[in-house]
Amino acid sequence: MREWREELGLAWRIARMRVSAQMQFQGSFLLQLIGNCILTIMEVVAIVIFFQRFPSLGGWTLNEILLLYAMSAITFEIADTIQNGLDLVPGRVRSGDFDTLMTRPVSIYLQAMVLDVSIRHVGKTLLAIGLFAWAWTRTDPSLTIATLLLLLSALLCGIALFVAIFTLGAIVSFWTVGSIEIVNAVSYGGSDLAQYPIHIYRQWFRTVFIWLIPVGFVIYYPMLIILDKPDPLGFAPAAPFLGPLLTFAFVIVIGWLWRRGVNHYHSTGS
Amino acid sequence: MRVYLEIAILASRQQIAYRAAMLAGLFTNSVFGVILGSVMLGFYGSIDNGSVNGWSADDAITLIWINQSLLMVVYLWGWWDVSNTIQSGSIANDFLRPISWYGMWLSRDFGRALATVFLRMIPTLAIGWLLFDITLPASLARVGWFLVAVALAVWVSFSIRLLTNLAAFWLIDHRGIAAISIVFTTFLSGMIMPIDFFPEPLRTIAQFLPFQAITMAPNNAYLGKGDPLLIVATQLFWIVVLALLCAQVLKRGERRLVVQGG
Amino acid sequence: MTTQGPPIVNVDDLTRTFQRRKLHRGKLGTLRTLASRQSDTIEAVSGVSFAINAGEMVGYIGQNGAGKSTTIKMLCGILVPSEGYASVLGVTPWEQRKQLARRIGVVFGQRTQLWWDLPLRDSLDLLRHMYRVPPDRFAANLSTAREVLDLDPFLATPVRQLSLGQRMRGDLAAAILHDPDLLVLDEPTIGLDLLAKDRIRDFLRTMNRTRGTTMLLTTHDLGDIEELCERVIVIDAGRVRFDGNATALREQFGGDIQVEIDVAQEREIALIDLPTGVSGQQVSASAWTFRFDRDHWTSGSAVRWLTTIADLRDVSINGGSLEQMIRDLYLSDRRSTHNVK
Repeated sequence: MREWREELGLAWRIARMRVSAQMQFQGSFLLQLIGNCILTIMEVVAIVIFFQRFPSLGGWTLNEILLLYAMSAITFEIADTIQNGLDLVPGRVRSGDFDTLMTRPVSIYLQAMVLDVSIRHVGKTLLAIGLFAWAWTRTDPSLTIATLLLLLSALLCGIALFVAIFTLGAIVSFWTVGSIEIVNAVSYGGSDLAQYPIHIYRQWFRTVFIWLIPVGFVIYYPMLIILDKPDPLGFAPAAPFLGPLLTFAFVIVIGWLWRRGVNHYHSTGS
Repeated sequence: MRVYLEIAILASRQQIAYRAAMLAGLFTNSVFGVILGSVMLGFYGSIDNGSVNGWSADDAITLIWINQSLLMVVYLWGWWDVSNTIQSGSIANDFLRPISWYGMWLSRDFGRALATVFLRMIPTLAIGWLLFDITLPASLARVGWFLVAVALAVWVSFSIRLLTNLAAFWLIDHRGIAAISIVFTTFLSGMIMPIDFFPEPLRTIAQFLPFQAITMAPNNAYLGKGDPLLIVATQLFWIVVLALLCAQVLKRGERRLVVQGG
Repeated sequence: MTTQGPPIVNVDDLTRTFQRRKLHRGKLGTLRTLASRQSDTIEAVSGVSFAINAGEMVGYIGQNGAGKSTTIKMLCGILVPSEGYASVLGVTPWEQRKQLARRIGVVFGQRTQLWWDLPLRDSLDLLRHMYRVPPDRFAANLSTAREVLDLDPFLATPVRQLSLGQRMRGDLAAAILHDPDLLVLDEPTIGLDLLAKDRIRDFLRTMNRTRGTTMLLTTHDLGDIEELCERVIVIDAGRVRFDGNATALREQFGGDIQVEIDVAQEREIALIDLPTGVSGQQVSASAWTFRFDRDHWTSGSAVRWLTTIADLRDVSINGGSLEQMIRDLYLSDRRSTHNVK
């Protein structure tokens, strides 16, 4: 246990150092930050324009959609910030530079996660939080203990879920050379679709993103309950429990796959 | 003339070599086609599948899929080949060749785009038809106009990409600024929603910008919205304007190269 | 400097095989390769056994592809063997990776262990925390490294901006900060110029002499062996061909001494009536190449003789090649087994 705390402390230290090294390039960093923010603003503007032409989306109004969008964006961006280093794993596995992670007395996964830290996501995260606050005042849901618990659960499970999905990309690279694009499609797609009510999607599509990669339970349902929206799919009562449960299961599976992947690297080299 | 054809064919072959990546990209296109198509359907459901500014639900959903299929063909983001040659200095060598510099890069892009049409565009449209029953072109003439519009769209996108790449002559961090401009380009080209959905002053402005020639024009040609001749003529107009602009920028850039020594 | 006690590194019949897809040639070759499940088995390391005692400096030499890096990876816990057993500092490397990592230092010649985007100083500081190095030990080690490796000029530079030589020195400093009992180096002088090589060899010698750090280094540079290792293990095609004293190896199988000379005045050097074990060839109007076999000559005696036959303007000595040495090893192996029969 003490070792875990120590390793997390080391990872945090590496991350901090990386950030200050990056901040030296103020110009470039600022530009990336601004670019990221503008992208977010554009997406929100697009949603607003849509709602000038259409009264609702799947029964949800503009402010409700914005709240859902903000929740999805916050969890996704925080997850993206944490796991940024994992994007570099495929390259390292290919080149054999992954070896250098194995000669240090620290968990390989943690080292992989801090291989790169990009804080340009901070901009989008702050914007999303602002948007969330703004939409909250407009939709004015009741603030109870249950609400807070749901929000907390959505946040934590959402972050864990997205980090696990990103890890999948790194895991795949242990076996094959290509195919990360497919994982990217799932992770970015997953976050995108979580911005809108799940019942607008086709049956088969929904099934994947509710049960297999439980974005639906983790983000959509807490917001549905908080906003007291009608539930055409009927999962609302079970959702607060299924969300964390399915996320936990997903994370366990990903963790197991990661270990299998590292073992595979141990036995085949690069 | 033959040289350019050969360059294009070579570029086509190179693109075909990446077919595994293209197939994976097809998956991405399809996922987003499904997501955005469902969102569009959801929106239209709230007005009982009525029509918005002349756009029916089928039109809008077809637009989503056409946009997805064109994404890699027009290749709006992430092309830095020319700016790389500027930063490495090898652009000086390119100028010494006995062929048109503009023509060389254009041929390469056309070759790349051609391969992508077969590897990404057509399969994506097929998937859209299977999953979302998108509208198929009403006549052979429409198909013809669509293909012409796509070819010209590639040319327009190429011109814009070229201009942002040429910024490397002056700016070290040209990619940052280009990234920001790409956000606007994407929005104004009609990638996210038909330009007809834009609120009023923006809608008119967008019609007069070159970006609509990139994805909006092929969409309009496909769906038979507006006079195809006008659509194509507008694209050609922008191609000429951007090419002239390019020539000017290139001249200034060349001077800078000579002064700085590459 | 060697001390008594159980061996620090114990390798017993270590074997490592790789599967490689059988490449089909001819028509539809690519398609058949993709579809077939046949694969070739390549034995990168085959039944390797040796033991290293505390304080030894051992050279592990072989040509490219001989199995050096694969053996090293197994000893560091990066790779799992197909068969056999190894124990490093009392621990099985691939089973207790983290424990072992605390007590050894690893330097890869071709990739850096440092953090790419951070200044060297920050990397070293990070390692202090990672390996829980007491402040006084850290200060002492850092100061030694800074002095012997001359780190000060680039201590604040991000690692990615360092030249190859600077990066190697940084990696070396990083490897000894936590007072490892064993230092494992994979081609530490590769790609470096002579001056840089000298500096690194000097550092390694110092570490071994003053701290008794055991060292195992792989290389295909015979100069490394000459300068650093008392003991040498030669590996070729996955098998150990020689394990013993480096000087003995050099004398026996180092190959002919080759000397190139440039004479002050163009003249004819008579290539007849040369002493035993000498052969020569004219290369140009004023340049000649001579070969001296090691049974009768040493580098010193060879050059001395050459000064008697011509007025030398320039002399260059090439001490034989690794390939030749290994070839000679094979021949002598076969000869000895033949005699045994």
